[in-house]
Amino acid sequence: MKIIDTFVPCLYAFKISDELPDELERVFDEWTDPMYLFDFFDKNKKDIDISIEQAIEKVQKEAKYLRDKLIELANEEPNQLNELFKNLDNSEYTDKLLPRQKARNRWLRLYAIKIDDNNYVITGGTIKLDNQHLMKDRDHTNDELKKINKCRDYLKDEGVIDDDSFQEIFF
Amino acid sequence: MVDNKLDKFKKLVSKEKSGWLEKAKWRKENEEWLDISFKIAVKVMSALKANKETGTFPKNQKELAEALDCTPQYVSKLLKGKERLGIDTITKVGKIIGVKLIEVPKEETFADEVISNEDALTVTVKIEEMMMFQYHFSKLLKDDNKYCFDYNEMVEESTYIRPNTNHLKVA
Repeated sequence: MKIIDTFVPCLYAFKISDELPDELERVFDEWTDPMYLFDFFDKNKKDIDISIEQAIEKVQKEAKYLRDKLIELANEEPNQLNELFKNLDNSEYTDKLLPRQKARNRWLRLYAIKIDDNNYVITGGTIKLDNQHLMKDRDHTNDELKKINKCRDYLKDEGVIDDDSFQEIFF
Repeated sequence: MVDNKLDKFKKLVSKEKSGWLEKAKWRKENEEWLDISFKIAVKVMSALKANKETGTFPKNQKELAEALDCTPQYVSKLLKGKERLGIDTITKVGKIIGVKLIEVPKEETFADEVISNEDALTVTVKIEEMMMFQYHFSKLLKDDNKYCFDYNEMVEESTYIRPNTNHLKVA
């Protein structure tokens, strides 16, 4: 497991294995691959109320929006990545130790861990459809949930924690 | 001095760089043809899926490669929407799967617009009225040898022009 620089200031990404690109690159590769998307929606037909072709078009538009938003936000000084990421779990305190974050744009999800006010590390991403409520409800989102927790554990193990963070836990 | 969590985190960042930003910029710069290739790929996959259900040739990538007399690798590139397709390839693929994949939009004309909004009979009547109006107008010019802009007077003279209609206006 590696953490790599995305070239977008203050935005990093996990690279889970040497055979795969980093998680930011990997999810955008998937979202711009018609073959992957066709296969994905064919397998998840029960979660969509529109045709596979329409669903693919929707993802294509959302991916472009998210891509442009990331570039735009990352180029702002000071960067405004905070605008993009929200807490993964709505009940989770914003200032909890290494909060898990998500960037959502209807169906598309980018998952990240917030390191400090403006620095994030992407742990993965996927397509979460309308008929699905919890991440654990579907294999593809449950895998992402497991991954984000694994990445957080890695950061904890590597001591990416300071005294203030400990205080936040215990107070 | 104790490192804060961002410093500790940055020590974990590998020298390896993400390919995401470069790819994102490339996709943005090449968006026009990538969008067309993407849409064609989706249409081809829909057709292959439909063929599979009815047992019609070609029903998969392998059979499409056979029909196109190309390698399965080329078909895979085509279906990933990353291939700059020539018009000859697009029409050939379209013919094989029986789907029109590309169409040059028809030039929109005023006449098309009128016909699309109103029924043909109304249009014919209006054209006839206009012709008769022109006839009376030129007659007035001939008789008096001077211009007359009194629309009401002309309407009264004419049996073909209905007063208070909106479709024919004199400035």
